[in-house]
Amino acid sequence: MIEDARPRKILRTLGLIAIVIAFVFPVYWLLSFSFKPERLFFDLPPVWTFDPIVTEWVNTFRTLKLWETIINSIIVAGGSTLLTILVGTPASYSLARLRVRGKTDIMLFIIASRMAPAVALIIPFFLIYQFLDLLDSHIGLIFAYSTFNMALYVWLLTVMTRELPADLEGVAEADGYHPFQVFLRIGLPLMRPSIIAVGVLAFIFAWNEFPFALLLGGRTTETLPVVAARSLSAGGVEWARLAVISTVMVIPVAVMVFFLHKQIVRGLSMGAVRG
Amino acid sequence: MLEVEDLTMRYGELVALESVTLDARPGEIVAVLGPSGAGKSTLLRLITGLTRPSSGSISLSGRPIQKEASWRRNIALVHESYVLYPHMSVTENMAFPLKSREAPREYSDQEITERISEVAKVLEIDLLLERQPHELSGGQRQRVALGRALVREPAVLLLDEPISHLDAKLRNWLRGELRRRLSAAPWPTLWATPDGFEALAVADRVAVLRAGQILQFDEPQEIFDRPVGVGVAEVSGTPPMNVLPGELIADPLGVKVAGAPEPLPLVRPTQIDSLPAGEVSIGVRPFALRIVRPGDAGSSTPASVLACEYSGRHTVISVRLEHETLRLLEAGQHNIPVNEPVLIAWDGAEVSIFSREASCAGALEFQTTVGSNEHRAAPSSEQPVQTG
Amino acid sequence: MSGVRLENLVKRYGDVLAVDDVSLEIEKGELIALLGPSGCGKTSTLKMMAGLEKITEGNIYIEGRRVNDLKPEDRDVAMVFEDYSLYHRMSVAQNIAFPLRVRKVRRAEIQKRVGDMLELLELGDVANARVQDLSGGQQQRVAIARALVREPALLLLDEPLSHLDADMKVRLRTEIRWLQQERNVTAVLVTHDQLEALALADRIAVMDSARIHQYASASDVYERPANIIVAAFVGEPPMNLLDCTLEAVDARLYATAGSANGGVAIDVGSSAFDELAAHDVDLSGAFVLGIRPEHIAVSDDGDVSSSISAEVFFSEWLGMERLLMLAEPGGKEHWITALVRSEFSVREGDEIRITIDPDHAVIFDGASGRAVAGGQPEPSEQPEPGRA
Repeated sequence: MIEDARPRKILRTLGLIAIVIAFVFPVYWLLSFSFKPERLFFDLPPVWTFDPIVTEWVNTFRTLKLWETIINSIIVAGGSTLLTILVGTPASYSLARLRVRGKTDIMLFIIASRMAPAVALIIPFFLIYQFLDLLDSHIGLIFAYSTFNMALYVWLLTVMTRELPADLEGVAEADGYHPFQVFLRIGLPLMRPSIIAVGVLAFIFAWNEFPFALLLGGRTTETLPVVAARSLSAGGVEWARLAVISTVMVIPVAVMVFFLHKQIVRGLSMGAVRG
Repeated sequence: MLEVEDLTMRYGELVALESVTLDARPGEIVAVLGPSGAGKSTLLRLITGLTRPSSGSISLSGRPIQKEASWRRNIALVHESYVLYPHMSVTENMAFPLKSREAPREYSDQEITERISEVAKVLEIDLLLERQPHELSGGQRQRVALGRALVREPAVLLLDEPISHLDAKLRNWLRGELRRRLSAAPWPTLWATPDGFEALAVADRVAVLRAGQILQFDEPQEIFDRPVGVGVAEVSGTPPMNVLPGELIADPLGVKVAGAPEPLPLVRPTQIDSLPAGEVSIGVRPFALRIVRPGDAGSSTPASVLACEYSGRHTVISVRLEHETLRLLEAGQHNIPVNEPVLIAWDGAEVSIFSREASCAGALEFQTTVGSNEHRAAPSSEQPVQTG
Repeated sequence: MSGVRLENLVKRYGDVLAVDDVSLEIEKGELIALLGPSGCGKTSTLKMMAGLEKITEGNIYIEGRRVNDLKPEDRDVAMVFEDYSLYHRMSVAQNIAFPLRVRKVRRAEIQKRVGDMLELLELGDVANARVQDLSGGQQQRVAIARALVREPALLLLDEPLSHLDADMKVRLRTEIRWLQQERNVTAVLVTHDQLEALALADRIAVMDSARIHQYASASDVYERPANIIVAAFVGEPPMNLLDCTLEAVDARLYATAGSANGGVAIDVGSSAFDELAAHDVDLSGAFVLGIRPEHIAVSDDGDVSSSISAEVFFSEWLGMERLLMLAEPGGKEHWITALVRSEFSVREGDEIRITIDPDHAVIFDGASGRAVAGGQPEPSEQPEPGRA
């Protein structure tokens, strides 16, 4: 291809800057709200410079016991992600690489479980949990989250694992390794970038989940989205508090993506396994 | 000792292998020669145990193994796609089979290192040992895949086109080096290749596989000099034997070739009583024919030149003979313009006559009957079947 | 008339010099090959001709017209790619018609030319098949038809056979040669396969590290290599290259090679002596003796004065020929390769006597790698980058 001329390069850089601003601005706006005095919120034109205050942060953490909520969220989202990875990884490997009877049917079944709206699932869950005494328990939420996350995880990971070089397993078996050993020593290391990428996705879904948390959870298992929702009431919207909670919710996701973005990109593009 | 008996593999309607029987002794190299799609890879997969046969048996030193799990068979396989473990360095790749629990014995770390460095030197990959697979070229990866098999002490070694992607120099050298090495090894080797030249060079015996069937299983010289049928004739030698349709005429003995004004007379070999009169296939080696000028004496057939392909030592001249393409091999370089009319001299050429039974069925079209070996009209030493 | 002229062509990618001062002239109707290992600059040169890469320095003329600043579609150049690059949703006939259609050729004319092409390549039966249903070989034939239907001034073939099976490769090779001559189209073939270059090309430009090392007819490249790089790259089995010192006795040249007992003297004859004397070459330096395997004669008991002794390291029977890998007597390393009649029967470990054919010996300067006797001069007078 004919190489880029200089003016085209500059144009492209400007375009990229515009796109970055479009994506970063809402995050900045949210963050600025949590440090802005409330009276400046709706000034037009917007106030760009102000003395940041931390009162709303202190208040929110103290009055809402936000630490407990954060820990709840971590337990539930983390636990369900871990469970999904533990169970979903061998399942995906088997579906992608082994001769499994009725493979396509199983895959269709998996994707079908994602198609039902959450509300349709909540009622049976509620009744079952009531019977098993799992309402308002961490373990109950972990299981509930794992059902919808598992479908996503297995579906995506299976598709990605199929892209591993063909004949790897045959060669490893000929080298004297039992299929389970082959999974551990060849399959798993090669699936790692995909596991991380899809795992992060599953965590984000669980972290932001609302209807299950609202109806199957309770006082002791309240998660961040539930608390955030309580800032909106008939009495009005508590903007500052909402900004604080939202910021808290964004932080772990941002941190995770920041540290793992290479792995995620590799996992999603599967470039890692093409030798 | 590897013995394969009556091995058949069907995928639904498709027959990938049909009653394949062959054996290989320790220290012997048996080449499985056939074009792609002939069933070479299927045969190796069945022996490795990656696929279960529809019927038939495979045994090692008299012990049937076709029911045994592949990882317990101790069979070293160099796969045609020469996959390496992408997350392991070259050394780790080569050490992998030695560290298996199913390896025939335990190898100390020191021995593993020694075995790898010895094999790496032979394959000229000793400077690449710390590299990752994605840093290697195609030829280098193929050698690492080969190295992973050569460090082992397998019950059988299976090589699927092991040197096809190497440059000429290394391929020539490795062919001999592998032959030396494997002839001294206490295990048999199966070497699958589509290259007739490579099969002749490297093997103690050659099994010619075509459309899932073994057409001939014999020593290289027999395959080359006495092909049992057209299927074998067409794969042995570079360029392979020309095969033309023709008609055998009993009296006076002769054969009618397309484009020839009159039948080419044949000399009747003394040891043959009956010949398959009528429609036959005529096999003639590229070096047996010559291009002559108009007016030269002897039987000749008119043809037109398609292309001249030089190879350094020879030139392969392709000519069109009515509807057939014929290849001739002449020493040195020749450059005859395309479409130039020439005469092909058959004088004194050895020809093989193959009967053409079952001439209607696809790939089996040229399959001859078992008796056709005796029907062959020209043993190589004297030239009893002569034209002119 | 000149078909194509490259004038001091240079390509730089940042600091990397990909093509270094390449000049060559291609006659109209001639097929030349750019031959070299991967990364030698042959593909960059081709892409500059096609207009897919910008030219850093130099000029390209196609039929007398400077095309440097023309877009690819305005250069009257057609290209055939390694991976066929056909339009998968179109039929065979539509694919072939496509380049005419985008050039707004009249419908009747398109039909006629596509019909001609289908007939010429015997693609009539599959004219309406979708290309993705065809085999690789058939797809590449369609790609060639698509390239030729426009009757371009220049046909560029980028490794057109490298993805095909061995047997298809040979068949299509013949066909490309025939078509190119039949249509009398000027063509450039890029390949890393020296056999392909020898077979197809009228002239070969051997490239390595961005430069042309020799641009000559196929037989000259083979028989009279300009330097060691060319000698080592062209020919299978490859040319023997023996480090040696030279000595002149009675107007004959003797090369002393080998390591055992100070080496053995090999008679290289008088013509090499004359050539060295004519160029005033100092005989005291290090030299390399190049001799092709087929120019070595062997015997069980040759004349001791004119032949040297060697031990058979291994021997391969190749049907028509026998390949001998020879070692110095008592030596453990491969030293010389000889290609002899297949009837010459030897066993590994036998000691035989060999004689080289002095008329085919090439002497290279040990330091520069340049041929000083028996080879052609290099295209440029620039200093050599030394031995490969």
